[in-house]
Amino acid sequence: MTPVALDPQLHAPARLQIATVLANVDSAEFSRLREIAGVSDSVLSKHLSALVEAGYVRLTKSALDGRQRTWASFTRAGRQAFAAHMRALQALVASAEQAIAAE
Amino acid sequence: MNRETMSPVEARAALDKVGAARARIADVGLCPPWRHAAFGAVMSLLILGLGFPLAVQVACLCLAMGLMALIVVHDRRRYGMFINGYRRGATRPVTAALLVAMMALIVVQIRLREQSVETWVPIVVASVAFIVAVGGSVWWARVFRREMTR
Repeated sequence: MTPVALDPQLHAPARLQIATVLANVDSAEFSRLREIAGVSDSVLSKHLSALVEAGYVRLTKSALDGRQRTWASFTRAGRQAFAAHMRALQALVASAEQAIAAE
Repeated sequence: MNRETMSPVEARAALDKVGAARARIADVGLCPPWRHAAFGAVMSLLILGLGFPLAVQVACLCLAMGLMALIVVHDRRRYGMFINGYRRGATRPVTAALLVAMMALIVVQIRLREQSVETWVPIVVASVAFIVAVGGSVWWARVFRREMTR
């Protein structure tokens, strides 16, 4: 185990997938995020609420095809946290690969 | 695994999850040909108007904005996401190149209008804008897909 600066808010696999989507798009619709993360409506709601509370995600409602839909987007803090989390993950993998190569 | 630490194996698994999510986003780059053509039409309408008097300019601008709004609604409905063309990443140089090309065509169109050229000339310039914009859109989508799947 190597301690690295991982972000506990982005630690859960589903939350990391949600963050990956939001880091690469302007906004994503609730049902699309649910499909990509492979979670239920309630689980996605919980993850999004946690990310909103952390200041990483902003939720907006807008009508599409006559229905109100929820759209999520990253805040600046969310983008920065995701980038830092990714750097930490990549550093962990790189250090392990270096250790294997050195053996 | 606790909340502050992670083993390299777990980190690798997490990065694989990230890769899987990015591969799903790459689908957005699979635009149908008409979607590229629609973007080309927006750009060529903007440039076409500049070759004519103010009334035509305003009409072309309104048409282009209306078409752009339809494209945004289509993207949001089809993909459940919206991606700004000016996003950071590998696509930004493509966007910048397209912007420079469009600015050059705008300058050409305005200069030609000032010289009171024949009516077909601005149409030719707008046609060039259409071809450049469609090519740029196809290029952008390819670069985006490559970035998401690497």
